[in-house]
Amino acid sequence: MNDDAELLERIRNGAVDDFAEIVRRHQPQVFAILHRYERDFQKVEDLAQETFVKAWRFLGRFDGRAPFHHWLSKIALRTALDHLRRQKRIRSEINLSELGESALEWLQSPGDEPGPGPQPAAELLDTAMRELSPEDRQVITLLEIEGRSVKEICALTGFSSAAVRVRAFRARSRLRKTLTRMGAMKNE
Amino acid sequence: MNDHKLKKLFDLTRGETPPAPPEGFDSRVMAALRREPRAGLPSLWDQLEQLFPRLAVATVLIIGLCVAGDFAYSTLHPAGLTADVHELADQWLLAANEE
Repeated sequence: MNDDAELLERIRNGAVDDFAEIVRRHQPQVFAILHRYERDFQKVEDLAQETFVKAWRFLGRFDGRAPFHHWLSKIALRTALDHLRRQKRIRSEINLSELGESALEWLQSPGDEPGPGPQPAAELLDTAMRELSPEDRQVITLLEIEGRSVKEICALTGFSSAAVRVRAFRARSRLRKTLTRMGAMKNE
Repeated sequence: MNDHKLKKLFDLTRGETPPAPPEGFDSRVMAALRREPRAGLPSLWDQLEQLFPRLAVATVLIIGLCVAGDFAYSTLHPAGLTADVHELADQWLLAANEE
């Protein structure tokens, strides 16, 4: 099958239905990005749809200088950021009842226990990250969970490298405090 | 909560498998797209946005050339208020009187 550039050229020339192939190719990547910022699957699906609709709407602006998946990632991240900003106004308080017992026990343990599974760990981190600003959350997620370099994060978010480092430092510090507080809340 | 434990939490989270897109997701997107205006050739605004860095560089170059040209001309032909007034008087005021 054609690569993305050929496919996009065909779409620009009127082969609208070929965009479905673009969606099929890139949907796992888009779902993976958005899942880092929203755990409700139905909302992830809505955000993924919003991402592809935006990509379609702004396809004329894609100049092909960077790979298409990179351009699409930026749209997905922007969509996630807008979503986090909306959510921040609705909910920011910590609710421990949403978390599993294994994650909370690990949080309280003083030693170097193996830790909960990936899903409880992700839920625990997601809850703590609600205390962060949407921008700080995005930076720390890209850096520590997706394992992106500072340079990549600059390209994806538009922040300077100094801003990325400051945001990451602030996010780590805030997360440590929040997680400590969450451990103490369990005993209350 | 120390740095090591926080790092471990990041590592554990990284291991989570992302959800798979649901069956027929592409059809749902395509249905939404059909309600959208058609994505065609880039609009004039889009093209200007893409060209803007080049236009900005070209503009700066032209302004730079003009400034350099003016500076060079001023150096070669130093301006003086007295000489300029005389020149103006000769060319315009006196010429008008002669008529």
